[in-house]
Amino acid sequence: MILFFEVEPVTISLQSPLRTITNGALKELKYTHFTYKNMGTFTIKLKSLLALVVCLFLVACQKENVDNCEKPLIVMVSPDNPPFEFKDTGIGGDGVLGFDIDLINKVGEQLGREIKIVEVDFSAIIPGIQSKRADMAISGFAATERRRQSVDFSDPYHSYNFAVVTKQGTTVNSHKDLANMTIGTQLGSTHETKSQELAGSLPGMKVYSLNKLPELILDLKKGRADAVMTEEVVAKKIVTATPDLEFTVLDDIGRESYFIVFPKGSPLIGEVNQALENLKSSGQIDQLVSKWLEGGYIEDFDFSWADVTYILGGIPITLGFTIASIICGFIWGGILALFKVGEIKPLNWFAAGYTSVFRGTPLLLQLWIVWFALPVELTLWQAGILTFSLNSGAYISEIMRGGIQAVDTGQMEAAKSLGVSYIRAMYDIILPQAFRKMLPSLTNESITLLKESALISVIGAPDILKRATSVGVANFGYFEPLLTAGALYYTIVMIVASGAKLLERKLRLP
Amino acid sequence: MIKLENITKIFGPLDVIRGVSAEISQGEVVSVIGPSGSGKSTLLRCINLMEIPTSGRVLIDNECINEGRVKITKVRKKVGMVFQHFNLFPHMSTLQNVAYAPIKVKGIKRKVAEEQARKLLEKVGLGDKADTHPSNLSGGQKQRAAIARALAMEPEAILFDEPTSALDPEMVKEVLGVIKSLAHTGITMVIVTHEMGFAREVADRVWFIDEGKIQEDSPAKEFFKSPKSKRAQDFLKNVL
Ligand SMILES: Nc1ncnc2c1ncn2[C@@H]1O[C@H](COP(=O)(O)OP(=O)(O)O)[C@@H](O)[C@H]1O
Ligand SMILES: [Mg+2]
Repeated sequence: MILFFEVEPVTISLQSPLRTITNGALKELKYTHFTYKNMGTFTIKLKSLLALVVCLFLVACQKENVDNCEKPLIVMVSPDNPPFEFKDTGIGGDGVLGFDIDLINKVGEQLGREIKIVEVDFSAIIPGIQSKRADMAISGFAATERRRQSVDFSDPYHSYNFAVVTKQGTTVNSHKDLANMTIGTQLGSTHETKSQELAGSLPGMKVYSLNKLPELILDLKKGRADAVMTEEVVAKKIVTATPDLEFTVLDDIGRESYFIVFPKGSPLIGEVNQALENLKSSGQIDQLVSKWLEGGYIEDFDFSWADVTYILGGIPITLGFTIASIICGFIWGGILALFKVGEIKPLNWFAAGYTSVFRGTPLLLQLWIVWFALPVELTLWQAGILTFSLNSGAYISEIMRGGIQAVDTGQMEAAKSLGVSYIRAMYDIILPQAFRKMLPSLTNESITLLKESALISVIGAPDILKRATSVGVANFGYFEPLLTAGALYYTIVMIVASGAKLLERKLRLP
Repeated sequence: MIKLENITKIFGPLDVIRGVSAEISQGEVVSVIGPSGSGKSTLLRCINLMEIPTSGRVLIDNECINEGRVKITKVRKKVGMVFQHFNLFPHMSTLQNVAYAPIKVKGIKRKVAEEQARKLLEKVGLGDKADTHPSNLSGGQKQRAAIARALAMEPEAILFDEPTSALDPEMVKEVLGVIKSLAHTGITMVIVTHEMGFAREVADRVWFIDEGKIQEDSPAKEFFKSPKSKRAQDFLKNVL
């Protein structure tokens, strides 16, 4: 959490600040949680939500300095920079590939250590490395002075020219032509720094940053940006993927290089530099250059059937998650509803307070707290289902309370007068009637839950939405994948809604 | 069979029952009359502990049921109740309404209970309505079904709280007919009613209630012929 506030606040993302922040912070903190789990020393019993929040800071403030050679090397990567690091969902996999990935694996081989790739948002890498949440990071980093204050770097492993991508017909012959243009860059990148540097001397040049390259390309197409600053190979890839764009190499503003990032004073730096040297001299880096950067690797940028099946693969995840959450939320909501309609005062208060808190705070915040503040070992699924059940429990309990109280009090009286116990009467007499009254609201809640389930993509679950955005990143085009995801959600919602209608009709009293 | 000793009931600031003592013997039919808001329902509900009396003792078959551990289940099995608004279970068929409590509370086998329920429904003239849902019954039929439901538990006593007040006039008679047929079968009945003719004809005794007290407790014939208290005289004058 603390780290999250330490993110270099150079530029503020314009398009999707919430997603930028949450993606980064959450993935990163998921990782924090993971390391503490391994330490196995963290056990705090939670008594209340307050304690929970305290724990959040405890977890965040702890520092880790255990160095274990048996463990794989953790490498942070932001997979949105093809061909260096990206996901090719077209071939159906969920792993990260690219020049940097191959390179770091070769480095791992040289060191005799296994490499474990951790995906995080670009903006979360430097703060993550700074606090040693990973052994290193590789994602096309340049070694700026500013960064050198907080992290260390390897020797350069690749160097490149800057380039700008523009719409066809926009003339850029040298960097001077960028005057009076709005330039999009990737948040926290060297391209951003370079652009800002240029903007200092070129009149009317404006620079803004977004989290992901495809978002910038989209802006470019929409005319929100006049040019996107990036580097030669990447520009080439973009232009291959989107025919109505062109790129210009700016060879008059100096070259930049890529470096591997380490925590300050990391003992690995020497070994890794040695490994890079070996790879260079043995020609292996050149092999990677020809494989990834010189057109040897043909990517499929079209929205293909493979992309569709990849997105379809999110259905069981979205559905499973939603159904599990509805079932648990239903049970928990039922218990809370009984607390509410019962006559035990402390339970009344508890249920009312609980509902008030869970309805009065954002679901995303609740997800955060459960995901990285609970000191219990939770998988992604457990955390997601727990949060959604706790949250929907609050809503469902209100629906149920309403339903129960809408049943004529005479029903309970009659049952009691026949000697039926309270619980039995609830179960046999009140709830069956209440359920019929609640059904429409319960259906709504289920549909809401289904749609909100997209939030779990924030903590990394490969659900429908997450897969659609991955495809969008890989293809430099969001439109088709998001449309596909939208159609899927809509279809599922329609099926649920008509199922509920059928059930309603079936249960309707004669 | 039922004995009330100095019962009071207070709802917040409201003294609703202000010291009632009375006794009803086995098989007796007592009619409870009095102005609205005088506490008739509350008193009735104190008998089967639908309301727990604030003070005083309720004895059923010489056993005090509201002291120490309150014996709610016991009293509910011995004393049934019929409500003004029937309170049938709408999601069950008429037969299920009647058979439900014997099955779930007494643990009688479904088959046996349904057999019995069918007989009871025939007895109240609803033999052909066993398998319809309450929403398809007229008010009078609903109340007869509710009486069958109370009878199914084979109680020693049944409390009726204005059983005909929610009915259209043409249906009052059929319900009163059923209640009348129960009188003097050995079952004890306490009936809150505004049907004075019926009370006079069926009841053994009348309790006239006003301001939370039994103002007059007399044999029915006597009460209707010459009510002792001024209030009862005024009340009768107004309703008759
Ligand atoms: N559960 C309750 N809470 C508060 N007041 C009640 C309750 N039940 C009845 N009362 C009050 O007690 C008084 C007597 O009510 P009730 O016994 O229903 O009279 P009756 O049946 O003779 O019309 C009324 O003033 C009524 O408002
Ligand atoms: Mg009443």
